[in-house]
Amino acid sequence: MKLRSALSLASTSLVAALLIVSLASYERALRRLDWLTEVAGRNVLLIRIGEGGGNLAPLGSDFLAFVSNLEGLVRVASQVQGGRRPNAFDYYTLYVSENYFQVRGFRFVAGRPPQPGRDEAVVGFGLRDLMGRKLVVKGTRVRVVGVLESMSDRGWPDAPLDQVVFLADRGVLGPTTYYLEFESERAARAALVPVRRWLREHSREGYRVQPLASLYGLDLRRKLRDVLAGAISWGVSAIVLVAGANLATFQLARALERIRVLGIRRAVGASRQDVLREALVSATLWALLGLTLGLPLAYALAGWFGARTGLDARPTPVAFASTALGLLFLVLASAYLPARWAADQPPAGAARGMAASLPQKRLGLALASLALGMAALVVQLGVSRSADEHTRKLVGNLSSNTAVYSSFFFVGSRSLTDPRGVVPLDHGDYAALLASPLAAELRAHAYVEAYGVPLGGPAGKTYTYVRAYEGAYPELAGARLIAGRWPRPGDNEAAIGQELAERLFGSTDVLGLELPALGRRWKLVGVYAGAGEALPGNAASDQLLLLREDLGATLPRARGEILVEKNPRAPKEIFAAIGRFLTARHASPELAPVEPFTVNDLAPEVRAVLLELTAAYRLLAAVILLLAGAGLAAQTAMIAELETRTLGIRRAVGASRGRLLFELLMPLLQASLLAGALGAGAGVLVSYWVVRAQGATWAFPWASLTFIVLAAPLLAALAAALPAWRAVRRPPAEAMRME
Amino acid sequence: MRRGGKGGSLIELQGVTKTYRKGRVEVPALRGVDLCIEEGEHVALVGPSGAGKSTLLYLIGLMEEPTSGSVRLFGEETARLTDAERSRLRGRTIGFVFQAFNLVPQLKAWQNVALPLHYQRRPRREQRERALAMLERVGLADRAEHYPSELSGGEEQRVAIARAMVIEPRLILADEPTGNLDRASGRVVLELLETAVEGGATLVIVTHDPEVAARAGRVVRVVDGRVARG
Repeated sequence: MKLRSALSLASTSLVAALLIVSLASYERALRRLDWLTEVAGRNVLLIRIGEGGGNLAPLGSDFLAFVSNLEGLVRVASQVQGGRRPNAFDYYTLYVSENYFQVRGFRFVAGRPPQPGRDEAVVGFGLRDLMGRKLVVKGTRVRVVGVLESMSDRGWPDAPLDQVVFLADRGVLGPTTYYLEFESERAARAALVPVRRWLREHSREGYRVQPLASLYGLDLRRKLRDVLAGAISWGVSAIVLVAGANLATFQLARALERIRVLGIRRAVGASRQDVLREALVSATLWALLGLTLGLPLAYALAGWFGARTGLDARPTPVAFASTALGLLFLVLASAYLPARWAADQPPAGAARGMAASLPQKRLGLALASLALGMAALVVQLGVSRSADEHTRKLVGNLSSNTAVYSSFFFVGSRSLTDPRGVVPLDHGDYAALLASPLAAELRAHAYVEAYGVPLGGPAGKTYTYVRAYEGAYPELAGARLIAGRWPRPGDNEAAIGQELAERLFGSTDVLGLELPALGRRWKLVGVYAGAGEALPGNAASDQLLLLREDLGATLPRARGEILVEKNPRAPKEIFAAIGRFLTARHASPELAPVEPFTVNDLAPEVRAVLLELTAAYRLLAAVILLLAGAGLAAQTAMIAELETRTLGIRRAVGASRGRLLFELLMPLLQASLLAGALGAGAGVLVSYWVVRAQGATWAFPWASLTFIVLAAPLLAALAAALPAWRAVRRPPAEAMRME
Repeated sequence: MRRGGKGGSLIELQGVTKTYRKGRVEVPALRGVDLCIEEGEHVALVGPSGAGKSTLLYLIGLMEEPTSGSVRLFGEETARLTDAERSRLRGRTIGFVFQAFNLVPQLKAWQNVALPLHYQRRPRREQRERALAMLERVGLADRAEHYPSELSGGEEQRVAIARAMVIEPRLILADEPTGNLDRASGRVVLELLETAVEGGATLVIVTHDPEVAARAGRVVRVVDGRVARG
């Protein structure tokens, strides 16, 4: 097989393999992203005690009668908080209705739900050892008949339930949480307004109603899914484009080369149809052969990538079928067009053909492909960087070396999430931590008190959190100043989140304005961008930051949080040690131990998907580079082979090998530098357009742009060096004999 | 860089063999050639097809390397030369004329003529002036801006001769220069080559044409890879 045929076949197989691998990983990434939004409770409304105070009288049978008439209602489940110490052991109890587990989407790893009227219990995964045993709860002996799956993977809203004993509801009086399950998410959302109206009309303002899915951050997840899916889709589109362009230029070049042969066939009697048929049959066989060789290559590549990135990119039937169809179409189209041209020419014209200008055309095609590859790479970089930025913005900016100790979910004597109640952390805990030996392991630390308050401005009012901080809070919470400065002590200064500024003042141009809160007026000296969702530790964009020092003393209803960043070399165990230290200060069997929240605890499954997608982005970038490099190497090899005779002539009139190598590579390097720069420029613009079209914030890794522009000639030099050297080292007499 | 004085051997071949390898098969082209050519001579290499005439010409022109034996050019043993030295020698002292013209299709006529000067790193202006002057000498001043595909066969060969002569070579090697031309064009080409000999250059010409051979000062017969005696 001639070198040019071997190269052409190798490039077809490589393109097929890379397309199969990219499409397979794309398919899996999208599936994973869809899974991200498959949270429990999408059709469920949650009615629970609110945070703002108000009438908390039991909702009672009137309420149940009202909800039974709501459109699309399927069932109602309820949960009543029980006491502690049901036995000699220290467990928390929840009295739940029969259908509670079904509505919440909790599965059993052993046993079954408790049956109504029987003294039975179910335990969380952390208490699985109690399965089959009997507990005494308020004088009644109950038997543990089931164990729930572990909740730790569902993130912080459900994780504490691993330590809870669930008892069948027996009419216990107490604060009740209701779960209304509807036929569809739409019906559930539609019921929000009438339920809120009922609570208002019946003066039950102490209750709050919300979609259960919001507890799991469904809106946040949807935003994330859209941004990430957009980013990865553009990456794969770029690959398909580059692969297609590479393959098309290759096939086109191959077909152009055959034009002379087609002319000769026409001269000896072949009809136009004969010529077209032969070209298409040959191209089909070529595509099938490439695809056949591409499949094992795809498995090998997937194994290689999998071993390095942990990404599952094994070929899937859909990826293979899509590649097969696309490949066949491209190969046939790029064979048909030149064949059609040749068939329409007078035989003599086709026989003379484009032979003279063919090498230049090939170089042009290869460079266009390189420019496209560079543009795709830059788009990929810009889009994935923006997706990363946007994701951070949505889920919070905590670094992986930061931990948060929070009493954020503690209200009065009750907790909203952990049934055992959470330690009410205060400034004394922070001061004690700083005085302890543990402080030596910390690079930075902060204490912040959150106050839920109503705020008002000329453009509107809202209920949000004012955070009074001490220490490096803005830095640790990842808040980014976009105007002005952070508050200085002594002058009642505050920094306002950009979203809150918009809501209260209708603009972020608020520096110098005053805002009343917590009984005094605060001068706004800075505007910051923070997280889109309020999560433990982060500073959300709809909040107000001020210095605790200016507040003078801790006010009632404060919720304290301690943020620490460990020294890079300090072990991760330091976070657990600080938790034990803080727990010991509040030694009480009534409260849950103080646990550190790290960025991974906030939404573990979101993080897992992000890590997986990062691997996918790496794979895509590698594929783009590989395609651009392989395309360029193959094209250079073919150019060099076609130019061999001319090289021989140049050698005959006195050119040395070194000089010829320089003459072959120099224009290629110049042109590839230009192609790289043009491609990168176009890529920056396209990535901006793409990211803005997704409604996300555009960010670009500018530092890598120089590298990318220089990478084009480097890639060209690496790809072209070997084939060029092969061409110039041929003896001139032999080179001139080449056709 | 003139080496070897007037009247001395310009080319000296001793026991030169050349074997080509095609796959596993070895094809001997030259089987031990001894040959001396003096400076200023006009030599015709004749013989049947496949006898080794062109191979001999390419060995003399440093376009191939012998399998064994010695090739001395201008008094220098060529086996010792590096690629750069061989290229320099070829580019400054030897002019080639081929049967298939071997012009670079992407270059205009004057650019083809200027190609050896380009590799001598002459200033571009000098390259152009000398190339145009040479094209005028071969009667193609008006075709300077044309590409090879726009020229007739005779014109292409005259451009090739201009390219060979633009460096004022001491040695001109011509491989069937009239083989692809009609009689009238062939005569013009030969006259141009002979003008160079009159100017002091040595001309070695491979030919099948007895008329061309008859115009040479010496005829060397090559048969079956060897130089025939007598």
